[in-house]
Amino acid sequence: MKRLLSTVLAVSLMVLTLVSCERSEAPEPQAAAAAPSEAAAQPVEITVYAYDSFISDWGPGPVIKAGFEAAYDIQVNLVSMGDSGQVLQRAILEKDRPKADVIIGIDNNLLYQSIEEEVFQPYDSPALSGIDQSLIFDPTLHVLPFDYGFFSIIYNSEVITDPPRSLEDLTDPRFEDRLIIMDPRTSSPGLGLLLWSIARYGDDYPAYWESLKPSLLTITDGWDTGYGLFTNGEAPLVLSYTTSPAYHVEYEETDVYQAAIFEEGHYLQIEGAGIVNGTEHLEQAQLFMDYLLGPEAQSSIPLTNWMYPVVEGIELPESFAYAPLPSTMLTIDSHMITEQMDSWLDTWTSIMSR
Amino acid sequence: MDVRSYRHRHRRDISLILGSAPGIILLTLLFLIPVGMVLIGAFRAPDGSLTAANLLDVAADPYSWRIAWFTFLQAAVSTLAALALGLPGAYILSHYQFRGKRLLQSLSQLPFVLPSILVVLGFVIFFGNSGVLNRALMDLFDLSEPPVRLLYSFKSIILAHAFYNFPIALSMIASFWEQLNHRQEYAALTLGAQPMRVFASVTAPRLMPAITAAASMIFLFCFTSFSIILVLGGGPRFTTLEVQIYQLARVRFDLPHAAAFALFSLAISSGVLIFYIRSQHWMQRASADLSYSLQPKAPRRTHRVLIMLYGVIAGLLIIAPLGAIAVRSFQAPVFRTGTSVWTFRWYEQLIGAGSTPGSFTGSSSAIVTSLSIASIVTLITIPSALSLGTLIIRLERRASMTMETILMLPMAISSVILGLGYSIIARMIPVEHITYLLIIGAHTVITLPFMLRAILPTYRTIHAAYTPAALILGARPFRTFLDIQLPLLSRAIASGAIFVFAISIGEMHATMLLSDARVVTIPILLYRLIGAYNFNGACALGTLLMAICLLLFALTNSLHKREL
Repeated sequence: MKRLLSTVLAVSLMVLTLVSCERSEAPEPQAAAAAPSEAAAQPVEITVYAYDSFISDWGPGPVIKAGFEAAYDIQVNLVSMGDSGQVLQRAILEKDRPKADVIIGIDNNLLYQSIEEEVFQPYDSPALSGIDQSLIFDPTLHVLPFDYGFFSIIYNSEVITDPPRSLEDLTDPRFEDRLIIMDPRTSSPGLGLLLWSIARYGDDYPAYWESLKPSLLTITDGWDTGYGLFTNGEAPLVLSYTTSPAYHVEYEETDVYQAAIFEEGHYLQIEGAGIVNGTEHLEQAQLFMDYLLGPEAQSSIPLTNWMYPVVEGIELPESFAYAPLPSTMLTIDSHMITEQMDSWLDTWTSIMSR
Repeated sequence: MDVRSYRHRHRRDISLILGSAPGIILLTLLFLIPVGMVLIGAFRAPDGSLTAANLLDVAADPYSWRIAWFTFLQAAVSTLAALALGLPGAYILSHYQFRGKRLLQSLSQLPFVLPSILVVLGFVIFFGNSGVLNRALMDLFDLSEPPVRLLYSFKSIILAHAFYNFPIALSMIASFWEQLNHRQEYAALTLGAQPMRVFASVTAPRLMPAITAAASMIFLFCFTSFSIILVLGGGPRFTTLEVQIYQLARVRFDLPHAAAFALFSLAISSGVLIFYIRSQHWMQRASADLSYSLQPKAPRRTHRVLIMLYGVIAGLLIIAPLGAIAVRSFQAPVFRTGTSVWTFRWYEQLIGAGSTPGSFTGSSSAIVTSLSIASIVTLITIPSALSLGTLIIRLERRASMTMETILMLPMAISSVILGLGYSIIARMIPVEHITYLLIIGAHTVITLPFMLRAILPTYRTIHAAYTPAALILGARPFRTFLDIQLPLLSRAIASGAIFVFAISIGEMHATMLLSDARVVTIPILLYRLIGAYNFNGACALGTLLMAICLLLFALTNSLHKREL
């Protein structure tokens, strides 16, 4: 018993020492914010909320943070709150005492709710002049677009020689048990496909889902699991983004995976960012927004966030030749999404659970 | 002096109050307050007044009852499957000494440490339509369609749950069985009963405390299972209460109804808990003959075949999916030829060599973070469980049962609700670096019932058998605890500590909710790797995680053996 105890103690002491070494080696950037009274000598720090994959080592977060901090004497504290829905939820909960200065990741599905809840203040950024005007999805300029993309069906061209050409095609018997999608209740591509079907079929969308059922191998809770199953060969069709093939070209040197482009159109996702209502660092937050919409940050978007930059004239990496832009964009009014979402999800759930 | 009068006399003992206070304070701060603050939302109307409308909404909807029934059903069937798989193994582990026994013990703990996302993917790599098993069979018999279609059905939910949970049954039942006095079996055999009959009418009833303990844990695990049910079940046909709570709380932001559903779910699971605790008390009173140490022996020839057969089945279930992950971590696909080559590329990326995407310096710090959180959690959990255990065994029967039920509740509560409770607390405490503390707190709450489960049965027996004697001989309660109870409990503490450490290291849901990207643990990194298209990298990190845990289990097992 004594030996057991001493071993446990020794191991944990070792680990603790390691942790404390680790901590002291890497001074935490947030330390500055803890003592605002001494801030005079130190650079100002702004807090930016974003979704998790934006902030991860492979996301655009680290690149944009480094670039911005180098250009201005302002520190950026990037904080992740899970997915974009959770980011907005946190911002709403903190409305009276906001901790964030900028929030990244409000897409067209969340836009109306974020404006209704008065989370953001409008900002007419000078950088907006360089942006494709059709992408400015919030005319009140509370939320400014920073990238966009399209949901798409990706297929394995070694298995599928005759790819689907429309949503209707997906219900064809030749695709029985061939398609992996995500649950709209837990995943944003999953929600994207539900909205896509509503944008395409209007009130007839329940019938579409009824006929799609035989083609579905499984419905995963998140995009990551679903796409993992797909690259493991479980099914030759998966719901993802039009940019997914570009990843495989860029880093795996293969064009086996391709995006099926539908003439009838693809559901558009625009991601935006905004300055929090009640921020104490308005000037710095505005600089950050300008930087986010500027050429430097924008050109890092394709290979880190796997979306298209909103600024016109940004040169795309070669691999994006495999990320075709659909000719038709499908969208649903953001107000309607907020109003109808619950009933759409209920209908979907009851159809799919039969 | 009999136990009852002893218990009565010492009920208000100051040492009891002092001993149990830390545990109670911890539980109140880390569990009752945060969860209570969320659940109270179920009674709140939009205007802030009190109402029962949310609860009535849930109870009046037939859909609620349908998913409740399904949640219950799949958990019950999964529990039976896990028990069926674990019981023979528990027999083998407690009765026989054989080569590879320690490895088997260590391996059987592994499924626990893996975040469910990796369990799911390991399962698919092996059992999937184009998985290792099907490809081998198709090559062997020259088939064009995969012959084994296990996944994406009710069957695969059960299979995955059995895989995930049978080690609980295995280790809990085996450690109890080892201490079971075999005189009664020998008597029955001498009287001419057949071995099967002896098992059914003599051994099985006495194993019941361990079986019900394991079963209740497994049941509650399956009851709140999430990704396994969604992905392997094939979609919303198999919706459980946990998915419903997630959707309401995190997608619709409808906290009152989420809290109402959580209460609904809690009502069912506490029913199971109360049933289980009652049956366990009854069983334990009926058989007070533990503290016997069975000497495992080498198996006879006929038994060796059976052991091997079990080994193959258990091995296929545990090693195959995990092994498939490890193999995948050394492979890189070559698309032009459709084959793959052996490579260390993913590991090089993990340690930060090379400059491709997915190469980063974060993995070593994630490993250190995970290990230190797990160590701290284990160190907090051991004394807390002892403190609360002391209270449970010394309270009156009724009070003791109520207490036990409350202590087991963290197993029954949805991690979504726990996470929400913690974020409410986090907003109330304006400390900058509170994230580490929150994660450690959440892990402590999640793992505490496992530690208690591990020590309580033995603690009760020890307490009844030795404590009065020690006290009569003049030892003070604390001295009795230190010199008598603690040494006798060391085995139980060690096996509980393994569970606690393992669960903490693989915990993903609550960590994910709380980490706000500053605390990166191994499971979070794994999740991000898969999210960044780097599936092989995730397999490499998963393999690393398995190796670390295997090493720890081996260390604990050998320590544990030398102690005897």
